[in-house]
Amino acid sequence: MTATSELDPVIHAPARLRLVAALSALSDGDRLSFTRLQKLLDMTGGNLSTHLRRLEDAGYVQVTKSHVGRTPATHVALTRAGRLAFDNYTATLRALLGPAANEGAPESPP
Amino acid sequence: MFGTTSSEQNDTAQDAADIPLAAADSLALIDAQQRRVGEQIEPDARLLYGLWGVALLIGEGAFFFATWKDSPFDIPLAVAGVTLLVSLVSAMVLTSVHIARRVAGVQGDSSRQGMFYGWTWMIGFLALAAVISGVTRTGVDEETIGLLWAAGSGLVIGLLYMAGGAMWLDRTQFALGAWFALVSGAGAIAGTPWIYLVLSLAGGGGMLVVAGAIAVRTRQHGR
Repeated sequence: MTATSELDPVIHAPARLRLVAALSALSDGDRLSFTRLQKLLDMTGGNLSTHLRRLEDAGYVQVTKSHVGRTPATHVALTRAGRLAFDNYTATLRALLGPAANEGAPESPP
Repeated sequence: MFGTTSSEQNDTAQDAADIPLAAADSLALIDAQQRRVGEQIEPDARLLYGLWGVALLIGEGAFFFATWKDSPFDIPLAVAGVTLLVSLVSAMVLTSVHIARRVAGVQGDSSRQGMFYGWTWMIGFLALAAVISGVTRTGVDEETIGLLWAAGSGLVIGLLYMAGGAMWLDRTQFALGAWFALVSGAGAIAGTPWIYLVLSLAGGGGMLVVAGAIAVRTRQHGR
């Protein structure tokens, strides 16, 4: 009970968790376009915007708007605070699973 | 921010779906999503090594059979030249298309790295062509020109793979580059027609072996 409440509520929702996990897979110093991110998450644009706004308000993502020629482009990246929050979140999950579960559970399926 | 019209409805719908997950499920979800992004934005090494392996195997192989005096096939030099050119240009076009599709939408440091690295290949081969055209004007024979092209491009490929391995900390790429540079040197010492056989089998064949090894390793790791 107490352990679950330690989980960051901004990240602890399936859609935002997937969003943050997707951005965490980028190399440091990289941004991903809104449309590509949408495809990688199978989310509707409206849904993605909603969750992005929540993460942006928490200071976890940075949304950059630019122009490629005349076409406006939006790019998204995890901030340092966002990466830190994500690392803490996964560390808390591993701790919740306990030392016994730590060996097998988070690993990839055989 | 993004001009959403129905954000309120989305919020409600989303909240219902967003019941907290169990720890193990959350970790599995993170893992799956990270894999998916990695698989879709990183170029597929199996495909690229496979592509270049086939191109070199066919192109350099044609040159070998055209220049080997005991060759069982009667391939004119011009045909071999066109075969090599078509193989290499096709591999280059397919590589560019594949990488462009994979990295679409990714902006930042890695796209700058990729751009510099792409230009390194272009400028490397342009400079090689200039060097060889300079040597050609001194009146050396066709065999020497062929040898220079083969060994020179093998060396450029080898060096750039080694540099790529250093930049992306990719041991396989580095080893393949070292192999390429060394067999090109050895092939040049062996001379015509052996250098073409070396580039075809050791070079192109080596790439196919690496592509196969990566495919096996990927399958074993379930990715």
